Amino acid sequence: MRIPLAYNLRHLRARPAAAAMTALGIALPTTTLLLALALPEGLNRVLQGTGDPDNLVVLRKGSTTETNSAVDRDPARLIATLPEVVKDPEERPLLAPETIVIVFAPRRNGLQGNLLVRGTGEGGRALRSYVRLVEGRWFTPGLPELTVSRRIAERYQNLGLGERIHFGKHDWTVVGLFDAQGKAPDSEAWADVDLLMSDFLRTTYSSVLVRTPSPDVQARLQERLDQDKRLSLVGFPEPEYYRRQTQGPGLPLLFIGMFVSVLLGVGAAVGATNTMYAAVAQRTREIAVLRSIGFRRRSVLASFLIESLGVALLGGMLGCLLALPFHGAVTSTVNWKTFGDLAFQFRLTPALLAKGLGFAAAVGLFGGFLPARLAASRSIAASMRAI
Amino acid sequence: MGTSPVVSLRHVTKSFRRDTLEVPVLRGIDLETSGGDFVALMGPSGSGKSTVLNLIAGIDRPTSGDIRVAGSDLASMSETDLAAFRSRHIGFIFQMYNLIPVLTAEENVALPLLLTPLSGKERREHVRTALGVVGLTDRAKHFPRQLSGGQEQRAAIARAIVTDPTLLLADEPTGDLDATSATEILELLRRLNAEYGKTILLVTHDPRAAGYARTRRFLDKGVLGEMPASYAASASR
Ligand SMILES: Nc1ncnc2c1ncn2[C@@H]1O[C@H](COP(=O)(O)OP(=O)(O)OP(=O)(O)O)[C@@H](O)[C@H]1O
Ligand SMILES: [Mg+2]
Repeated sequence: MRIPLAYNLRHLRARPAAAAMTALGIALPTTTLLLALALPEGLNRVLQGTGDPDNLVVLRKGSTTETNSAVDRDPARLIATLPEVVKDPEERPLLAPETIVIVFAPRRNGLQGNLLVRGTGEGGRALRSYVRLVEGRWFTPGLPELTVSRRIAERYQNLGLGERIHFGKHDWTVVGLFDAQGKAPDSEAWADVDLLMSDFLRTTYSSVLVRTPSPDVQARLQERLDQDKRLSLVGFPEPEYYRRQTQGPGLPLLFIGMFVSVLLGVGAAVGATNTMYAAVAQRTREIAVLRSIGFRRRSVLASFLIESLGVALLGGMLGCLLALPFHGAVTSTVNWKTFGDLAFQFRLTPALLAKGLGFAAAVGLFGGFLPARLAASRSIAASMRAI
Repeated sequence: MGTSPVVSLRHVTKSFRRDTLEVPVLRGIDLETSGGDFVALMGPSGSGKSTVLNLIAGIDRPTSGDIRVAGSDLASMSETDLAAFRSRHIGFIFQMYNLIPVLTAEENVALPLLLTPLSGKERREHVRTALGVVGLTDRAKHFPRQLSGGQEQRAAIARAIVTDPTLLLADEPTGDLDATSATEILELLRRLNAEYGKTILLVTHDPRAAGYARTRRFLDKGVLGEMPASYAASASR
């Protein structure tokens, strides 16, 4: 009962310029949408992939991020004595009091960035085994030295191996580069926690990262921190801590991206509508002939919808192709929870590409609907008399 | 041939609304055609000849009156029913050939078969037969623009007969053709009627074309009548 596809394909081939323009019009919003969606995809991969379930991030009660938390030295010392904390072979508690400082620093692209500097120590490295030194060495305690993520070194001025950057009271020398496998520390520079705190006149840590032996014990430690009113501390399992940040960063960019794609999408739908109206007008007589042969209204409607859909999918595929070069590109956005720059990769997953094609298809169906309905609704006799 | 008429129009009227004005075109038509007839319908321009064909094909609906074609009462049928009715019973041939320009001759001829339950193989056979009848076998893969006017019209006739419909409706099929091609087409119609027993309703201005039919009717001022002497004289050649 269907009008053969060859009918649509040949018509498209007969007016390639119109088809190409319409497809291009649909390709652009598809690309925009894909890039907008690739953003949270990449960010979530960073943030959701970060964190060891055996680690507990201890913050001041009421805080959800290290940047707005403060843990005094006394409670920090007390945590070290708790029985829930795992001990290393030398019977030292496995934990890391840390501090976070945001430093304005010029990026290689000339813009200012919010560099996240983490003051940490041996414990911090031990608790993040996925962070691997790839060049140089780790910073020496007590010296103004930095070991930075290679990604950050590539994106910021003065952060290459051997280079110096001034903040606080010192010129800090980059003595090593690490790789954090795309997880959150790949947006950080690491330094000695005590020196960093004295440079910024801090008397409190931002957080204490603690290793627990099992989920049960971890829950018990959370409970203990929660109960002890003098401490006024709260503990989050490390994965949860990072998961909580996923809502924030990238949201503004996501919204702008979606807004622009919807706007361009509406424009593309209008373009498709115009093209299809022109096609319907051109083929008034053919449609009447098809129906006089016995094809039904709904077959005509379907035929024109399919034609519009075909052009749209062509545009969708083009849109995917245009977006693909961005796959794997590293960029950063401000993490609105920590205010540090968060480096991430655009990731165009198959699921995302499918979404892009779905969007393009929707634009095509939306744009083709009115013309297709017109084609199907016209009276045969009147159309025969036309032209 | 059965005794019940293939086409039966009774007191059929048709008016068109032009702005607020009702313009009567058909003022009460009675027409009966039995199987195997070849009827020429003549009349001045604008007299309503095409309108009569459209009503018989279920492409348009009458203002009043009864239309029965191939045993069906068209008034009681829905749009979808009418589409199925056309597919089964009607083969339409137009003045402008009206082939689909992006489809080859054989693809055009195959179109009506897509609405039948025939298999692909059976469809190909029917197409070959129909193209053979109109003498266009060697042009099967040609697109309409690669055919002459006469060849286009023959392809259109093949498309009209490929499903072996009850009734062929031809609306000035030779109107756009040179004399030689026109004769070819008219001979073809005569053959379809004589050899294959097709019932044909031919609308034409051309008395010579009307001469090919077995009977001639004349439409003027909204009613069917006898041929005026002037027409009759030239029609008999
Ligand atoms: N859909 C329509 N809407 C309005 N008027 C119509 C419509 N169809 C036909 N008419 C009018 O009805 C009259 C008869 O038209 P029709 O096409 O049936 O004439 P015809 O005899 O086939 O003429 P011709 O020989 O020029 O083809 C004309 O005056 C025409 O303008
Ligand atoms: Mg006419």
